[in-house]
Amino acid sequence: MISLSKDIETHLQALYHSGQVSGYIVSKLPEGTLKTGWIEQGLLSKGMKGNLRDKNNQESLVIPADRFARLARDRGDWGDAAIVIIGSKGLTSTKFVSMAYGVKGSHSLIAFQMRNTSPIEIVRLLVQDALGKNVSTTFDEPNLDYVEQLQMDTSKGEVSEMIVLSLPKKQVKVSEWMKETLLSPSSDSIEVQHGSSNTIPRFAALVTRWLTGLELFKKTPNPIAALIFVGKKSMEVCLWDQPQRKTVFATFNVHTLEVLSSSYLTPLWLVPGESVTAPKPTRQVTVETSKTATKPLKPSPISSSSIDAEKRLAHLSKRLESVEFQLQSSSRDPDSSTADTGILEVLQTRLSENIERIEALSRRLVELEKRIRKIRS
Amino acid sequence: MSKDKDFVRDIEALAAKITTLEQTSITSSHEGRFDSPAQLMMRINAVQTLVDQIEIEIDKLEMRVSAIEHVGFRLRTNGQ
Repeated sequence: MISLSKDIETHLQALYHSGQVSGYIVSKLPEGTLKTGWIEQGLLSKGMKGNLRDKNNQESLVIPADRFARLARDRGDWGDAAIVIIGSKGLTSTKFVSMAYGVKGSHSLIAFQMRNTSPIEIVRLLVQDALGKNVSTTFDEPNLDYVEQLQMDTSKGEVSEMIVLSLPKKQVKVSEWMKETLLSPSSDSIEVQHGSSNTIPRFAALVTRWLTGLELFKKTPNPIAALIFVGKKSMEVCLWDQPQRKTVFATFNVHTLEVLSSSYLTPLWLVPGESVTAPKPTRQVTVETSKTATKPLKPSPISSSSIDAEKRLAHLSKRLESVEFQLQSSSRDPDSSTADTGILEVLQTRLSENIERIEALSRRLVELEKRIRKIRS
Repeated sequence: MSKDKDFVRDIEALAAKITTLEQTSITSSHEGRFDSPAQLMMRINAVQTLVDQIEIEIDKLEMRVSAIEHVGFRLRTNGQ
């Protein structure tokens, strides 16, 4: 057995199969400009119902992930990771999570929709399985007033700059309101402020414009969002709390992602009456190496580039059909008398789902073949 | 079309995944014996992983064909 607990792709795949993650994508973040379709072109792994281009998958995953990658690019100066979490109030509400991370020249973007998982568990998943860092085993009960916590951290010198704003009650264009508020130091909307460099206003204006323009955020009831840009020496954070009409922008000097998630993200999402419990240890994912001897790939009869794509796709579609037929035959094997019938039924259902997917993939190849024929004619 | 190296490479990648899927699917019931639930689960997991990967490869091919169609359309309409 090989333990791949630090492999985010394997972990997301396992969480997807368990139903905890309803959809995910992992894509290579290209250097330079992000051209249209870069997520699809650089896709390393995915799990979702239907096709990547389905409206729901686009709106709930691909588009917000693409927007976040562009924001992270605009910020430019994050070192280890840039993270966004968006969801309604409630520790276990469904949340959209995206993270851009990696070393210079090799960045990746992950995005997923996760349910029944608290922000601290989400952050631990990212820290442990994507960033490859150890997570602590201790858990301290957080102060449930995150503004008070921010003031305490500021007085300890852990926050170099911060501003807490009350969001307007009346309908206004929030990005415009934000710009005006940041330019008026005596505004009633400013609840607490520390530091006076120009960093926070620039950060706040950019993030506000981005967040309030994001359809996923606009469609989330009582939306809460956290954006974290982890730099080499500091961490820039935005906490957007629509239900309490508060927003926080802060630069932390010393906090780790884990401390930030327990001290700030937990009280941010917590619903009164909800219990704060220590995060469950991240489940280990183990995969067994294939026992099938990997035969060296013999040169495929269709590998010559002189044979056109149309014929290749037709051939591949037939091979998929043949696999589908083979799996269908094996799924009807009658010898289930000695085994646990309940488990077998569940497994047969999963097998049938995969057979249906193979059938759909074969149909997509036939469609591709037709499109190529049309291009050639 | 066959001169498009990326396209050929993507088709080769898809063919390789389908070959692995073929190998996985024939390692099922053999010599009259049938999979235990644990074996069956591992096999289904392997099949599902490969189906996920094949889906990604087909997504990529569809993107490439869309791009080629788009260029063809622009050429036919003289960029209008």
